[in-house]
Amino acid sequence: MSSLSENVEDGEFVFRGIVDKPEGIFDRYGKLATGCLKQSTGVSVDRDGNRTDDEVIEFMVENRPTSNRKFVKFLKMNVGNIRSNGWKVDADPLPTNEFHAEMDQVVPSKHLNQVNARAIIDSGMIIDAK
Amino acid sequence: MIDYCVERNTTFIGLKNTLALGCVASAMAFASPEYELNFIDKKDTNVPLVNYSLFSRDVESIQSLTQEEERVEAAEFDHAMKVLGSFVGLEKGWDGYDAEPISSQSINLTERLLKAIRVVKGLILGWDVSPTGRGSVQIEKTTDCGYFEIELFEDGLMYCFSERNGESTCSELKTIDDVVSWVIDVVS
Repeated sequence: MSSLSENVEDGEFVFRGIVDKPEGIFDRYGKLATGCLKQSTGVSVDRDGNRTDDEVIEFMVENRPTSNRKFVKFLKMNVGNIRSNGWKVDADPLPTNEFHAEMDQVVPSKHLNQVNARAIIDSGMIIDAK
Repeated sequence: MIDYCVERNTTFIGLKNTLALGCVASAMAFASPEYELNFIDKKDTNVPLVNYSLFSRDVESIQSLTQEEERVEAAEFDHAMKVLGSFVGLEKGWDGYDAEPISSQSINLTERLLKAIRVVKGLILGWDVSPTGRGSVQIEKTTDCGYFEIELFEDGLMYCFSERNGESTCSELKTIDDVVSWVIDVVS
């Protein structure tokens, strides 16, 4: 039985895996491009679930959604900060991943969701995979 | 005042002052067998052609570059094109999640934009090309003045975003001419 609350709290952290290919995912200064937060649907993330960063990352590496790409870095974001930038974060547990959640703009718009994506990324933390 | 130049392979033709001459040069460039696009499918009618002759501002053309400036700009342009080329053939889920393949229309549009931007001295510098999870391409640039981003969609729309001193602006543009003007006005 899951110990996770149905509502994602502002104090929680969520993690997004980052692959190393193709080029361009990071800019010339090593900054993560905002393209990683631009999806046709919501952006999949994993809740921390009161786990350590290492535990979250280990789980994400072993349970990544597709098997042909390896996560080399992880973007760790504070939920309260995401929300203060006009995005929402909702729990979306999967049969294979109770920590799964989705983040998206409160008012999704194909052409407008660049706004604040940069701020969300810049206020997050990049963690290298072990 | 200098009209924008047009590109034929690596040779740049600078034409000054007259819109009429600019139009002729633009037409010549696109008619020339030497003018080759690396990724653009010429049958793709959704990708707008660039009318370089429409640009007529107080900017310096690439014609006035020193040898060192030309080398730096060529390296930046070549790198951007190389990165853009790496997006061709990406499969669904390339980001480890469910990212869409990068659309050929977005890649074509980005190539045209980079070539248009390169025509103005210094304008190509500092842009990084990046894929997005929804099949579009974006170019972005961080300067002392702020952060600038252009996302290019398969339907031909280009979304320009800037953030300076905590203030952000957004523009949805439909032609490369307009985007180049935005870059000159807002970014440079």
